[in-house]
Amino acid sequence: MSYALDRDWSKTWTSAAWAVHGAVSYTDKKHLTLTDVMGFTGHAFRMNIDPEIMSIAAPTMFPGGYILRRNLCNLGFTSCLADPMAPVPPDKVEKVMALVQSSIDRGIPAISFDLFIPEFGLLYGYDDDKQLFHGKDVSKDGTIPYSKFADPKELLFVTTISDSLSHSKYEMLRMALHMIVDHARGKEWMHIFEGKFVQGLAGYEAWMNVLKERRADEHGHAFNVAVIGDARDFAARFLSEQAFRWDGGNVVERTVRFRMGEAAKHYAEVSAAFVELRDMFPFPQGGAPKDPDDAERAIGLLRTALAAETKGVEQLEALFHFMKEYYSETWIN
Amino acid sequence: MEVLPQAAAPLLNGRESMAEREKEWVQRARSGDREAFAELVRMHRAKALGLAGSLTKDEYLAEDIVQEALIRAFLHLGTLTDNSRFAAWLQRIVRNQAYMKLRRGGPYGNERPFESFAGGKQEQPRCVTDAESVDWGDIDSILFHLASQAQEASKNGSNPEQCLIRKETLQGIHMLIRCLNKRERDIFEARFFGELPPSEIASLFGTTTAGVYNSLSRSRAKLQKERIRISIGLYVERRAALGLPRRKILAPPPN
Repeated sequence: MSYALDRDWSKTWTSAAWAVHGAVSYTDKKHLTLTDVMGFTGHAFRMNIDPEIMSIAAPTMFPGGYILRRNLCNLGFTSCLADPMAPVPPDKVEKVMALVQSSIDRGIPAISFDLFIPEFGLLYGYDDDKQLFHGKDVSKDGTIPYSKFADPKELLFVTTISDSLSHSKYEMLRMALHMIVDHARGKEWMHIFEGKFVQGLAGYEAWMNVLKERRADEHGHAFNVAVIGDARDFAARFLSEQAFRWDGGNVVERTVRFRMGEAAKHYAEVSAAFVELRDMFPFPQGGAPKDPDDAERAIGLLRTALAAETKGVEQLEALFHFMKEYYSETWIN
Repeated sequence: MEVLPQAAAPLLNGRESMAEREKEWVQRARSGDREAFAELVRMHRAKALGLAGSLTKDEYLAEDIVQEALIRAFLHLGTLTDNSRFAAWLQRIVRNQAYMKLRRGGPYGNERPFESFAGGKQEQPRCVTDAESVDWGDIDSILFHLASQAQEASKNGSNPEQCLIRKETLQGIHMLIRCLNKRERDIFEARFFGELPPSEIASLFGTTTAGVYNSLSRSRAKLQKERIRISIGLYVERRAALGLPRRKILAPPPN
């Protein structure tokens, strides 16, 4: 199992999780690591595939408000959401700006989208005199004029953290598993994206089909490989950390430890397959996914990953059912 | 069936001859006649006024409603799609406005001022510019008329604050329209007031339908930008007046 043990765990290709982690690090839950956030929000387990050409847009094509609200919910936060469509009427612009500013006034950056590039980012400061927001995403740390912020391409997206609730580790794990399993089984609510993307385990089949028909867009394909490979590294790490942390003696601790430990092994296999895929299809160059030899080799690796991830999901599914209704500690029949 | 306010009635005398005249105006407007074009604008306003009058049975209330509907129409320009029909849309707004007013019991609530019992025949001018001297085909002229009316109303009226807000809104719209160049403005007005199909506007201005669409979408984008710029300025001022913090910058997020 040669998965990436030595990588930098403070960076991720999933900007939604990066932004959530960034915002959370200003709250009383700053102890949550990026690995925790990737795991508990389910982002480490996501796979959103464009079945036509493996488009570069697919990894961020999810109902952002819904997913981020649930992400924050899993971590024990209530939140606010703004997502009016462009062109945004002035009264709504003001409301969204007030939402951002009140969050910053409380000391927590607001999560937004497409500050400098079309990925999630954080607004961490404002200056009314200069009419500027201070923002950061994975590409840049800089300022955004209010007028530019108010004139988005598609929608004016902002999510802010409200209250921090004292969720127990049991609730956190159960909510996380719920999202992970629903996504893997293709049951996640997709809103306007319904039917355009294939999610979870079924995504592997769609992906292999694109390669088989030699339709993969080099650039987009490599980006999907990078995002999903990065996510699965975090998945394997999250699961083994959890298996280590649940070290108590009762039936819940024992079951979590066992199931998470088993799932971790399967996800480590997935991660290892993606290490090879990343070598073959580096982003942004992209390699040659239309080349018959490379395509067939990639399909083989994806088949291995799918088999391992299927077993991993089965463990997580079983654990999810257990977390909803613990078994008896002892059963004398 | 319709109870028309007296001011609008002369414009709408005789439905059949009206329809014929409209046909003729459209014909003439098509061949580039600006006079006919202005006539179409007048008619649409009169129609809206007629509708408002029939709903409210009150001439002045009807005037108010149409004014508000026009303001609303301006304020919602950004949401107008290329295919939407202005007249139908304005009528819907007029209807909503009228119902809202009526539900609230008219502009005066439960108290009706004495004059409104005197019937529709008041002689004293309610505004600086009277409706006769307004060129209804020209946005500047319409806005000037509405703004000065609002100003006058704020001097005499029962709710000076509201009238002042209206005046400022109108001046704001006026300012917005100024960000368009002459040609964009003409095409914009043709679409906005004349409800002419883009193909007819195209022949009127000697351009292609695609050119009209481009100009309209450019105009809308410019107006939207300008509206936003102005409203952000006001928002920032309001925050300052409320004594809210001017500036707060947290430590930048790590990585």
